[in-house]
Amino acid sequence: MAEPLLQVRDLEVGFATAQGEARAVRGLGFELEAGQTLGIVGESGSGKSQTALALLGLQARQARIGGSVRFEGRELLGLGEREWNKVRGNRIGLVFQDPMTSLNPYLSIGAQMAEVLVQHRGLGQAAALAECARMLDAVRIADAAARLRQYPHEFSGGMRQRVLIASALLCRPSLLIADEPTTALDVTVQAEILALLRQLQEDLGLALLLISHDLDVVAEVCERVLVMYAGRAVESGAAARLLTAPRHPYTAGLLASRPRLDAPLGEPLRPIPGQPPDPARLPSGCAFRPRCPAALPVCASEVPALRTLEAGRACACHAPLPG
Amino acid sequence: MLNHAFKRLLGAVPTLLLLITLAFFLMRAAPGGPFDRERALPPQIEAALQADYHLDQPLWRQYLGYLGGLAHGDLGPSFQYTGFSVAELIASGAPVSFRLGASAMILAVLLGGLLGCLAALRRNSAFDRALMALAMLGISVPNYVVAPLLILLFAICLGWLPAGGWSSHGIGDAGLPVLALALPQIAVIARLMRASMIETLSANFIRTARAKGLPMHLIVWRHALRPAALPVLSYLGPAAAGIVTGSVVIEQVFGIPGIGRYFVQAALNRDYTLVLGVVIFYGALIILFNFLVDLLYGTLDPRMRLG
Ligand SMILES: Nc1ncnc2c1ncn2[C@@H]1O[C@H](COP(=O)(O)OP(=O)(O)O)[C@@H](O)[C@H]1O
Ligand SMILES: [Mg+2]
Repeated sequence: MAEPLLQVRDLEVGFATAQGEARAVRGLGFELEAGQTLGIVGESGSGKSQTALALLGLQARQARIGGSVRFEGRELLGLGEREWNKVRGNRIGLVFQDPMTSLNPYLSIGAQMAEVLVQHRGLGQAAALAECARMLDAVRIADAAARLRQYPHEFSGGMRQRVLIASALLCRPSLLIADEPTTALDVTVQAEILALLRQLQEDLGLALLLISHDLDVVAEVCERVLVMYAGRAVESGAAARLLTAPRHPYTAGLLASRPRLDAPLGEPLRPIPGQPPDPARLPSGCAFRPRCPAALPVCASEVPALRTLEAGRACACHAPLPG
Repeated sequence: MLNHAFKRLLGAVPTLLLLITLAFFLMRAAPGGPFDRERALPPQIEAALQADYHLDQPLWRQYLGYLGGLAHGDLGPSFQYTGFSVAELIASGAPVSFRLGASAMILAVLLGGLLGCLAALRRNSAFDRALMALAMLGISVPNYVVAPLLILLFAICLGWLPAGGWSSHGIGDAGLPVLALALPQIAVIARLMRASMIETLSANFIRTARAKGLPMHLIVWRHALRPAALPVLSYLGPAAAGIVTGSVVIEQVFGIPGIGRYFVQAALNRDYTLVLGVVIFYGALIILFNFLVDLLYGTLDPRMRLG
């Protein structure tokens, strides 16, 4: 079988702290085929952003990285800066959470977009700007040519996120990573951006890695979902199955804690009790054990391995919920 | 925005007036007078001189008279350099002082900015630590200590540069005074630049630029330099003031015929009008410079350009 577009194995991201090493990402593994969509879900602090940054070699200088990231048939971890820069923005596009601060306030939108094409394609400024205008059209920003001459402060949050998505797609990458692309936006704008991402993914045949703390956001766009807890994958599977029949108690907790429109009126939200652990002081055994309603004695002594339960479905739990 | 700029310039008038008033009365409060000599003048000559310069009038009348003259652009005659007006003396010293000050300012901005950027990019390296230690030293050691040390090192021990004097074209003989004048500013600007560059490089839009696959030098040059330079730009006003006060010392130490030297001699000789004239000139210069910096600040930020 051909190698998948993206293959992540045993990914580790650690930071030396006063309390010992903070393990932000612990042995994470997943695969993504060309043109497919995968969502990564988890509470804040579960290591989602560190994963996204590590996939582009953008982790903090002091971070320790381990494992393997194979992309388009070659290993990325350990590349030199020059080689990394040929991947970043060119073969892999990355969109961040905060559109208000992710654009340079001192440069026009055109200047910030065109530089990507100048860098990777060697285009001249005029040709690059023409291509940028086409891409702004594609993300449905009206009057693209005029907008290119404007500055970020003349754009709303949603519009800025469209600009950032357009920038990330200028070189027609085969993979787009979007890290909480809608978290900072109004609900209505959120829906528009998600619809846009889904459509671009289909039209351009992109592989999409969508990261969110919100299961519903991910389920709306992605075929497959991976649930992260304290830097590890605790469950993965088809979005529809995961949502209706969670096998890991953490996934079930996430599902129970989200606000739902179809829930009976007056039914209280049931947040997962407790807090995610400090990555520098993880509990023994399963990291979710202190918050788990179904913890067994074995959960304190042994880290549960990620086991395949059925085709395309994996769960890291000593006592998975019945399927 | 021009409107705003004009208002700011008008707002500087009271500042200048306060400066003049303070300088006027402080100068008069100092003991001694312009015609005190080792050997006292005959009383009738002294009286005639006093009357000539209106020093026999009550202080408030002298003050109003001075302001009246000032309103017509008249800084009055020098007491010490008989036959010269204060304006003539300032005009004769200004080109030299300006060349010295402007060279020091340019050197401070370029070298301080460059060193600060390099230190930021090599944060916590040996280079960074050494540079910041030196900068700390440069800030804490005053001009009048630096200047003789530089003369000792470059002129006397190494013999590279002349120890003093000033010709109208030479670069060589300007080297030491410019360096001595610029050093403390280089130190401050390097520290400022380093801190603001480090801060800018941690901004989200720099992360975006890195995710685009731009090489670091391009990111620094195109994305980080302008926002990182803004705190340095704000400091240029105080830097100009520092260079003006520094130049008074430096001109004295190196024997440079600029305004600063007149100033020191005028103060020692109680040449009231010359001291006041130089104070006003320096004050106006610094206010004007701050104003230009403000204008520049506005043009750098697109959010202020249109609004
Ligand atoms: N520079 C750092 N030093 C120490 N810990 C860090 C650093 N950066 C991130 N972390 C830790 O890594 C963990 C994962 O962070 P992150 O990937 O941003 O979470 P998420 O995106 O899922 O909210 C967090 O607990 C965070 O505190
Ligand atoms: Mg995050």
